[in-house]
Amino acid sequence: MKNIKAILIITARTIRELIRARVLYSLLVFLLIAAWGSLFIGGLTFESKFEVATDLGLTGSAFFAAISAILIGVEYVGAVSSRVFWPALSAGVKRSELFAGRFIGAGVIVLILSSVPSILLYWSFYLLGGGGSILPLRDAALLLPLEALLIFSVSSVLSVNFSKALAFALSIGIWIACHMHPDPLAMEVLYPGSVSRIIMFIQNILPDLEYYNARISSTTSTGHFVLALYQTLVYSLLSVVLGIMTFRKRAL
Amino acid sequence: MDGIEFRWSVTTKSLEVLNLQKKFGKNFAVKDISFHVGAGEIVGLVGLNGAGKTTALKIILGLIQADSGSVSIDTGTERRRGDIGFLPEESDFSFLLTGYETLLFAAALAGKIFYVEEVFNKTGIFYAKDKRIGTYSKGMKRRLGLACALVTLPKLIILDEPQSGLDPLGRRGLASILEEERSKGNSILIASHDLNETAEICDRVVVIHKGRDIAVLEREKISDGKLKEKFFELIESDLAECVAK
Repeated sequence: MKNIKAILIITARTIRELIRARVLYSLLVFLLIAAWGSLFIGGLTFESKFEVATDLGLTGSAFFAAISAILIGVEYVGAVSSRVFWPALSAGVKRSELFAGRFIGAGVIVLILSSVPSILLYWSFYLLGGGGSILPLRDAALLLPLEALLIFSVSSVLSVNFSKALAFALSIGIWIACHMHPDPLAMEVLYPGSVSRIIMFIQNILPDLEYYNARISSTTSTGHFVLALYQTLVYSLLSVVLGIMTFRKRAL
Repeated sequence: MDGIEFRWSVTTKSLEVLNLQKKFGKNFAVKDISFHVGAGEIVGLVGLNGAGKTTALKIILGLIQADSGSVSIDTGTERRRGDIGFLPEESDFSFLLTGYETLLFAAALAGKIFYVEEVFNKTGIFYAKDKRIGTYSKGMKRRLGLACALVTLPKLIILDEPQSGLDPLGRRGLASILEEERSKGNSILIASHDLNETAEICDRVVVIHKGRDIAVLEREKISDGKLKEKFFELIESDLAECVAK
């Protein structure tokens, strides 16, 4: 019970800190202005106003979700090894409790923040008469938070083990790599031998983030969502375990 | 912990450190440090920059692992959260929170939220408790750090350069707080550069040089400004010994 209480206290503090972080609101406002501005670009096309606006809105939302998730992971979960928490650790708070509390608190904010843009865009486009062409935005409201949570988990683990800049760069790299799908046959032709096998091995370990792309799977079924949720939970759980294991060993 | 033994035992020594050793790469940060802090005692760790004081404190607090040696902490009862209060060399806080929220966080983790207001008053920053830490001066942050170290009513208080950043009034306040904690039977370990103030408040001083404890000076040898003189004498003779070797 003491462990759960400590985790809850740390979670509450993390949520409070993030609610007060102005940079995230600025990013969100910037994204919404850009996405609503896309309606103007869409209006210039021949009867494809909402298709173009939806496409631009989705791209912006996905980018915003990933960048925010990585920033939050690196800055707020990575803070566990900073001097801010030395007194708490010295007073007997376990490193696993600190990591778990920060992770859960920041994770909740990542989930909310990454779903807000697509929900706002969907409802505003719907009220403007967007019809069926804006459905991917509705699906994105479910899929993007899962993708954001996954990449947030990865960045959290990296932030415990590397400097902020390196963890940020590696997280971006992994995010891009997870969106790429090299064809095994083409890889064999391009890089014959062990190189292609290594690349394919890495590809198999990394999660498939294209699965969360609402533009590709515009008619998202419950099964698709469940599988996405399953993949997110598995990778997030692995990341938490790995994060705690490495943080426990780390010299502060 | 690899290579280091942490024990919780019933002794009159609140903290006992034996033959601590820690290497970073090929260099010894701590080569051989042993000392103890009794119940109701204030012990100072003094030394030049890079002598190994902060590393020794970090090992005691479990923030880094020693290569060998042992640390025994006895707080009188079964160890509970908040039994050790720590003030790091540089106080660092989340600037998004207020002083009150920060102190409440430290207190809540130890389940001692009833002392928050009292500790704010004691450290002299009650007037700023609802302000964001981003607006605090260096001295105010230092006082808040001290408040965080005291709010859990710790039995063992470890302070790294507590005087740094404090004005004369703050230093006087710190001395009276430490005196009060000593009278309650709590043990205090201070790492400091300030020889005069360390000599004034400490019962015993451990001189550290190049990762080793080269002398333990009792109160009568450090009072009346004798610590400064003795300190330089010890450092110079140790340096001469090192050169001769």
